[in-house]
Amino acid sequence: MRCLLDKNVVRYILTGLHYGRLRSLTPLETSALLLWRAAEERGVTLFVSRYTFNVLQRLQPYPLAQIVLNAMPALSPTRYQPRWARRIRESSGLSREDAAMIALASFGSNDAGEILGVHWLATSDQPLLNGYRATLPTLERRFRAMTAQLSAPFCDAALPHLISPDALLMSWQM
Amino acid sequence: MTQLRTRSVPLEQLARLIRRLDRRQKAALIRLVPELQTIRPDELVLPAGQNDLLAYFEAKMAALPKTRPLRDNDLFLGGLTVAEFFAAPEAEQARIWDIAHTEALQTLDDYEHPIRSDAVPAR
Repeated sequence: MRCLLDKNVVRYILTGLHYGRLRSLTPLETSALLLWRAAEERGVTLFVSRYTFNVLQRLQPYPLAQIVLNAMPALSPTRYQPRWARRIRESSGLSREDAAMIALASFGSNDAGEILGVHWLATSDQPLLNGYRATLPTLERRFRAMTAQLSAPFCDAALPHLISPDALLMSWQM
Repeated sequence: MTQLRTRSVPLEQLARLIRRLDRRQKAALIRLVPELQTIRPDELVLPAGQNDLLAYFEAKMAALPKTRPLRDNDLFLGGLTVAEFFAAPEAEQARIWDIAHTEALQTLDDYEHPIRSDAVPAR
């Protein structure tokens, strides 16, 4: 199973590791770090977006960034990611960045090009979660119509489950 | 969460200010707040579970071959140093983080990653 971490979850990982010995972690930092540990224990592969990967590379000299880069491969946009991102924006009114992340979760691949998409997109961004849920029926319809016309492997693409780190952790405990 | 943030961020900003003081000013500060001399760092009690969680990731950092710890004056993001970034309010950190991502997104506008026809879908 595969999970893409939204940029904010990665930021909470960094701040949690930086502040962790100085003060109590916030609930969002705790969830982000617990999710990472639980994913490793369950054999779930965590990914960061190619965008987050590039930002972290600028911070590569620092251990905080290095352990994330070592543990989480980048998910990069393939051919139909931009087209699907545009359709998400048309249907949902989500921001360009949010639409790009959701589309990446369906049409992203690893460095070797061996996978297509992820099962979960973990985000702490409540407006993004709400916006996605509100338009999911429309997105599902448009996604089916689009992928039906594509060749392999894109015809097998799937929509991700958008979920908060807490909810994902809970689902793994059940 | 808001309560925790408002409690913690000013402390980090205060630390940043104190680090800028010279020795004479720090001595004056200790005279003004004499109880600082009686407090040990290990009195900072972290919630149960936090130590274990941090230890899990600190072991990863300790195993890294060639790294050096973050220094306050190292450049981080948005033209800020490490000290400035982590002392900034959460909303400012988020804004800088978002800008860095927007820039990364723009540089990848036309990027198309190759994929195998037998790539494994997320089903």
